[in-house]
Amino acid sequence: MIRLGFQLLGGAKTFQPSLSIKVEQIRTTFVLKRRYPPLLDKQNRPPKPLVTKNFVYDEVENTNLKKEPDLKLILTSFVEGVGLKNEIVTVRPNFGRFKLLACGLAVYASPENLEKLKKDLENSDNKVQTTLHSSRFAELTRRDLASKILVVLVNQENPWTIEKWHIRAAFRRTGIWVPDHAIKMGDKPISGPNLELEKKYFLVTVTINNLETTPVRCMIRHWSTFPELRLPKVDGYLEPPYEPIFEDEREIISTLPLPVFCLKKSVAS
Amino acid sequence: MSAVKSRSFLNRFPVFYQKFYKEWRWGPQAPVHYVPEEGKWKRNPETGEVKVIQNKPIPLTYPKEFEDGLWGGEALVRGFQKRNPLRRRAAHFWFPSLIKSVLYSEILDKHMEITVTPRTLRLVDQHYGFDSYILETPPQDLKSNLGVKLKRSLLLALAKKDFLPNNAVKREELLQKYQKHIIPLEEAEWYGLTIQEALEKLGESEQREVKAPAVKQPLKIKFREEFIQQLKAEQEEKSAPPTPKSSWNPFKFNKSV
Repeated sequence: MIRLGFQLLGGAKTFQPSLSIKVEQIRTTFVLKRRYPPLLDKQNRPPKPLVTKNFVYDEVENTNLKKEPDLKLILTSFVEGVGLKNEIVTVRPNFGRFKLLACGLAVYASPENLEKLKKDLENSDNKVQTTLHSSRFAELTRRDLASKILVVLVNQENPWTIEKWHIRAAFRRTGIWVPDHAIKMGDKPISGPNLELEKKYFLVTVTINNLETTPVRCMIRHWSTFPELRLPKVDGYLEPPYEPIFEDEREIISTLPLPVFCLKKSVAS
Repeated sequence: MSAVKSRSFLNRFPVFYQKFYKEWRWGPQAPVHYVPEEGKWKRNPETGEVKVIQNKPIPLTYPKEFEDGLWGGEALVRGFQKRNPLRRRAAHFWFPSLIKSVLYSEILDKHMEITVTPRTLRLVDQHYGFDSYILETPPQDLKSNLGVKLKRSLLLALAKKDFLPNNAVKREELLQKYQKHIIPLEEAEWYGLTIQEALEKLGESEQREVKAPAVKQPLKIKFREEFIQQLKAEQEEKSAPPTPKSSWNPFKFNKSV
């Protein structure tokens, strides 16, 4: 009986290991408060046992509903999207615990570790790290660009030769800002208008933060100001196979990673 | 039933084990499921009455699943809810949320899958590591068998200095880091034992101290030896030159003696 049980419980000796819990309920960390606090104990007399009424609790707080504070860690190696080696980062707690600390990619930013880091930085050169990675997002950006297909629009009537500003404008259309100094064109010039070059690919090298480089596939598409002369729309014009303009670029074009929409389609089918 | 149960059964054990056991079973626990009032007394703002503050902890229940995990001070709370002032109170159980998680010990160089609560993970972060959390938390807050045994294995490893056999550099580093937690081997061998295990250990040590039982010789052998000694002494006396007797010689006229 519960009443009897609680009378026995009064006095706070509670190592009664007879309950076995097999529950599938919502469980959290509760902070409780007594609705009817017990009477004060008198001095020099044995303490008064708790009465059943003292076991009526109100929930003050549910700590699992509060946001857990972020973890401050020191990275022991480069982690893309998070930071460079020896950087002090603040991350979400579960990510920090299971993806960084457990994998040995970071240590806690305790006072001892911070001091040790300070000494290490003073003693050693930091040049090695900066020659490998320019920033935490550079590698991600590089991979993103490598899988992209840049549609370079060229005029169907007027003569043109592909220059850096064509590439820059094409990037701007996709929402990427690439300054001219970061673009490196191929050796051989491409000029037109030449409908044989339509939907054919050439390579361009993009440099990120003066360090990471990646080739980017560019596809030529002719565009006319006269709507009636415009070339008809074709479905799936960005899907492989990718025909190169110059044969020596075929290998690189085919080995670059497929764009994301191609991968999703292959998964769906 | 007396108000205070006798703890004299602990008197046979060494002092450091007694201290550990008392802390573990009956030591004051850090409050988890309630917020204690600060200070020693409080004054009623309206009446000005002064009352002493007595924080009575919320009684907790430890199911048998508790012993295999590290619940970080949390446990089951059994009580009542009274959600409507016109309705009778209803029994309610407040359960902790349990997760099976992986924790890594630097000293033992092991990844362990343990049932923990989010609070445990937070405590490990606050102590900047699992080993620090175990070594710095007193046994009454670790409380479970697993927690106390883990602390025992860490303390033994630190006392014996036999952990990480293949990496001497790392071992030195960790010994330096956890220097303040190193206790003598004698104490570490007793730390974290249950009463049963402690009694076995005590039995072994007490048996060693008991002297080998004396071979019980029959007393006649002893008496015989004494008698032989006595006879020998008498013979020597006789063979020795006769001491000057008194002038009265009863054998004066009897030369055969």
